[in-house]
Amino acid sequence: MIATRYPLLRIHCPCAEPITDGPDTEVDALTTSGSPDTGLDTTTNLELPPTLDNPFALHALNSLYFCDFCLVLRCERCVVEEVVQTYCPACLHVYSADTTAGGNEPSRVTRKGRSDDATFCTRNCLQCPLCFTSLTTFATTSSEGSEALATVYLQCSHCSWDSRHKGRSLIFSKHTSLYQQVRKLSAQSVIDDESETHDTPATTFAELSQFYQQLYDSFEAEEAESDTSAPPSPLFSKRASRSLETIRFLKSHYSKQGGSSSAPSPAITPSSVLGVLGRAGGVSNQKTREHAEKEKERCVSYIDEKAEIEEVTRMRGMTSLDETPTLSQQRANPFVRPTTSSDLLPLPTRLRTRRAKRCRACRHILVRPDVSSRKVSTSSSASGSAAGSASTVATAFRINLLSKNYIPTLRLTYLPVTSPAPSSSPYQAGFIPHITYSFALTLFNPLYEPIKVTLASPPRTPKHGHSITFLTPSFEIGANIEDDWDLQAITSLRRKFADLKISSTSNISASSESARGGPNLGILDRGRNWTSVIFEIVPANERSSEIEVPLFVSFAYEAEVEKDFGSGGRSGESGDSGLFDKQQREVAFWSVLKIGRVIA
Amino acid sequence: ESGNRISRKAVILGSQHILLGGRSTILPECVVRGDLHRPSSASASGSAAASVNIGRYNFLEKGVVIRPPSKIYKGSLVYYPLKIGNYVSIGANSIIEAAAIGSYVSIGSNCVVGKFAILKDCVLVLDGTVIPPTACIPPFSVVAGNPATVVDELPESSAEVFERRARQIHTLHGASLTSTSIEEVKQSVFDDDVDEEFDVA
Repeated sequence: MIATRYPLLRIHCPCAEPITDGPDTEVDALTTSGSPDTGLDTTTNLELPPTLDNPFALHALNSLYFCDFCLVLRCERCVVEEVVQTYCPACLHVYSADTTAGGNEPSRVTRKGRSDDATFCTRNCLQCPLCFTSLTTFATTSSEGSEALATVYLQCSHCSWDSRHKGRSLIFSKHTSLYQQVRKLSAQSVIDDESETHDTPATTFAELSQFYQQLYDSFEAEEAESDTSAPPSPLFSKRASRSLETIRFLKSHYSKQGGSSSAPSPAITPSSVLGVLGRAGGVSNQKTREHAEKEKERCVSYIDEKAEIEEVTRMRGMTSLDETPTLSQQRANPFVRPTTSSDLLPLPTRLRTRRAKRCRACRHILVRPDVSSRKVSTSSSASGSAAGSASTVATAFRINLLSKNYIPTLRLTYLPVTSPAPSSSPYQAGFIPHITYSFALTLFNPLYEPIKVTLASPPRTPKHGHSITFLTPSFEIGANIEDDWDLQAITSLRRKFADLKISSTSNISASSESARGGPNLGILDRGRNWTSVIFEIVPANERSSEIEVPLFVSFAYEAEVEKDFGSGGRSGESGDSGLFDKQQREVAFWSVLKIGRVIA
Repeated sequence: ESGNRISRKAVILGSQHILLGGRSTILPECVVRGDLHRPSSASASGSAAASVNIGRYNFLEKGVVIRPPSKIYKGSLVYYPLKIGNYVSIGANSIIEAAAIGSYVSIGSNCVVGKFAILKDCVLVLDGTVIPPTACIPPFSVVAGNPATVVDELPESSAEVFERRARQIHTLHGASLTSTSIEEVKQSVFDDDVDEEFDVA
């Protein structure tokens, strides 16, 4: 979401970095630098990542995952997805694919029968071709009064599209497997329109894939032979320098076909191209010309003049624009491309998936949804307890490594200099250059161990040169232990922090000139699992420039890792007594704080 | 204490048929129609069936209308119960006639949820969306538009994000009853970006 609300925190994922030669190309290159000590200015050792201002590399904290193994953030782009469950979004029916032992393994969707059936709901979920909402089925009993429901029609509850209206009245014989019935209808319409070649997208794709497969095979065969065996054919030449020749040859070939190729697709069929280019090697011109002539005739015969005239007459007689479906309506049907609104068929519903996500470097699972079905219906459960009142498509996860549970959450608070806060906060009103603004940056520690955090930032922002000062570059945050944590404690702490906020502004102004000392300088407040530090910004005199603060956060903690007996691993030296090993871990990431705009 | 906060200016009809979970807030000018209920059969249990079931930590903003859906069945108008899960926030002036809304749902302002619609867990409905009757919104989707179509997918952290947001709204609403700060907090907490003011004095 592009938000112009300030303040904004975005975290940078290094997956967008250009790959350089050398070690640790996938891990954030900055973690390889030594751990920063207290009080050391580390900004000289760090370089801003080149993609720091690339919007695709910046993510909100909630959309990031954390690989516990690589100790690195993973964004949705550097994560490998696997389909775990396929379901229909309308009827929530789970299409259990080929399940291996245990329903929770990521499974491959089998392709029974036609390959495209795995992508659509084969039950009775159809969508309105006009507005794409789910259609409801209605049954009319036949006039003879038979006991079975005779005919079934579909109606849209939103736009009142009815399948009975229009030129092609759609009445279904039975009320089940509507998808199959619609499929037959669309196949029929294809056969009616196209004379010879059934040019559905499926057949075109099959033809093309066959063509390229043949091309690849013959290319392989060419490779096996020696260089000087046959006159080099332009298409299959091994040298890259011959590609120019290939392009020239192809161009001349197409221009020969030029005049008649106003007709759609089959003017240049894969078989014709293969025949002309491949084996002949472009040597025999006469043969090429003959073949081109034959193709030309075939193209001309393909154009059905009668059908074209009919189409033009119909278009001349159109009375309203509604008779032509919009582009999105035309494209929505995967089987048929309708040209008139009366040709619109109900659309099959595409299936959705639940996916497991893996770290792309170490293949560790980051997200694994829980797909065990719980047949509890939503409507009849008792008072709403947890989210467990779901039907077959649940929202639970077996594994969910969210980054907000592994890296500190940052929160920015503006500390007004004047003791009654100004009516409009500078986030909306704007920042005035050459005035020092103080902020409290609060970091919340989600881990169960205390962490030692070091912040780093260039003294001036790279783009516009606003100056940034951190008073305490490194500090500690307590562990997130939730023994007696209740809502009262949170609110009382917040109130305490609010009081402190007002009193600390006087502290800041008083101490700005006095001598500074002590490691706890600049730490505004502490809580059980959070710490607030002060940082100041002096905007430069650049009108309407955005204040973007690149912030490097690195933290270190000691984790207790269970020793793996016999499997080695990262858990320290063997031979230690005890069940747990202490392991020093360091995690670091870049982030960008977009604070506001500068007004003159 | 249940922690429920129901504004005096809200119109609550048929309160014996309404079940509210704990710590839910109903702002002024809301309308909750508990009086539209299935005619209770002559069963032994004394209390009538709940026609509106609202979970915990919910937040109904100003002017929200909660109405159980109805259908004409065999000639007569029958009302079906409406169930809303936990940690659900419903924006101002929205009209809810769904059959069921899951937990961790956020509905924007001026939305219309049609009769017998089903919203599963972890759904974000943007402002002004019209969800057609009998629609089903799968989990982790973002829906928008009229008629509602799924436009985006939510990250896996959404359940935790919405829960935290619902709790924070409840706390902040309790701390200060001015509506502007709630708007700001709601927006900032939803983006889960850097919060501006965490506490209003």
